[in-house]
Amino acid sequence: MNTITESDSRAMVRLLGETAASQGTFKQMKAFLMNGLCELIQADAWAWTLSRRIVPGNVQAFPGYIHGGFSEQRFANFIKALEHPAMGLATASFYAEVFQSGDPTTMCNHEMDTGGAALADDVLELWQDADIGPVILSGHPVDKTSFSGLGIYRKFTDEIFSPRDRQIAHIILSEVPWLHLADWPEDRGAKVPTLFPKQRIVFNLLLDGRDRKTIAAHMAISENTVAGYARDIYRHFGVNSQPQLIRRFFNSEAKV
Amino acid sequence: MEKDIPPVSEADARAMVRLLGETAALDCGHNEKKRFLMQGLCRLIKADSWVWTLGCDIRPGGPQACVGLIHEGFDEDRFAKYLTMLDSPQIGNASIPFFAAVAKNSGLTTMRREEIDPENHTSLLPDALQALRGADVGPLIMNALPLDSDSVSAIVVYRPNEAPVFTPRESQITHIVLSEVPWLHMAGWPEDRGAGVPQLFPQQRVVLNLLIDGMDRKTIATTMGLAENTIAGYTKDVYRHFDVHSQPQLMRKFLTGNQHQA
Repeated sequence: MNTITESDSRAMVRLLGETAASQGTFKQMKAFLMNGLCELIQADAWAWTLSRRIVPGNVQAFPGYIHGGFSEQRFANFIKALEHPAMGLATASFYAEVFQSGDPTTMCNHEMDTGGAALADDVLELWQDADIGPVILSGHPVDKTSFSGLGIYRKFTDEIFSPRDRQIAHIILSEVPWLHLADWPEDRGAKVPTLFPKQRIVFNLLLDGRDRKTIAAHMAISENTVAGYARDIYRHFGVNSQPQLIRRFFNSEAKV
Repeated sequence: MEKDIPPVSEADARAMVRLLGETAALDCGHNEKKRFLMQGLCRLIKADSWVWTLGCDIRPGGPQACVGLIHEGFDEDRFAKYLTMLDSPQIGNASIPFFAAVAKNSGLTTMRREEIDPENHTSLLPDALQALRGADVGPLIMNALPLDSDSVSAIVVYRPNEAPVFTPRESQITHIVLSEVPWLHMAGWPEDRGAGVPQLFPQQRVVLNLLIDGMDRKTIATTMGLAENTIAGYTKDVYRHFDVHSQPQLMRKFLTGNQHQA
């Protein structure tokens, strides 16, 4: 199933490398990565949501989208089109597969809607209003009752997505699991050590290579106080000296 | 591409995407991300150690005036021997074809040891061989990007002496990651790109590298087999040379130059 080329591999590596360098929140990184993915596969919009488990065949009602590439009006039309009763049938095989396999699943609209439920005149009209034609859906079960779902869209009159397009989307969506995390922490700060504010200042000045006397003068506290903070900080990070501290944060493995 | 390079497989592409996705999710500074990514790359290609160095004023055939900025997989003793190895003239000679290719290419160049030295001449030179064995360096992939007329950024991955050679596929994975993720080479430099480094004497350069590595005077003396007083003297020279007054200042100067662009 070698549908992707080396230049596709390179493009994905480049996109992820740029994502790694963009130092935003998870939400911003997700938008950056999704916009990049859309560029790679010539899609023009995407929408993402976390949803409760739905019964395959029923109409989906997804609150709380994150999306890109939509104008306000187009997004409203898109939501309206999704609500059409026929859409439950059109996506039934996709949702069945998501929950059956328990793995990230990626399908194109022409693969899941083999019965053409979404091609009936009244449904098609709604999608035309939303200016959405070809679709890739990707679903990732989060737990027994909910899943993370993503749609990638082209304009109404565009060519359908190729197996290569779908595969690129699938690789990125399945190999970058944080894209599917339900609660994107804004600060990603779980690992940030909990120091008191004054300790954080001393910590930053120590990392900046300053000596105790300068730090004391800068903060208008006594050298002894700085020494105490420095000791706390070294203990906190399991190091024994300022060089070790700097090394730990700026360079190779801590040698302690 | 002049050579026939085996295409990377979809599984390789997935592994690279996964690794970079994990790197993106890290909440840390640029150097930490670089370390994480390089560790992951080493796992992918089964390398045991890597070094990122700034090569200043590389003259083909001369000793390599390098500043080892980040490295992993070396313990203190092995790293000290590694630095000694870089200062060996025969090792300098052995890398001539690589730096010639870098100069000619002007882009990112990746070569395996077997491509740099197809006849394996290096292993016939007693000094070079001893230096390589001392540092426990066997197969390697060198990768370098010229930064300006005087300096190159070089990332080299290693396997221990006697380990099987790197395959073209492994070399290609290295090349793809390092060429498509430009911040690995471009960010994190000292602002002057180590302009003062070549003027130091070889022993001073070794001390410089070990100081940047965070080692204390006593350990440096032990690993280099010199008296602590001698090290203290070299250290003073190095501080004066770079106009700093302490090891933390020196480290700061070399390790945190241009910070990563947000």
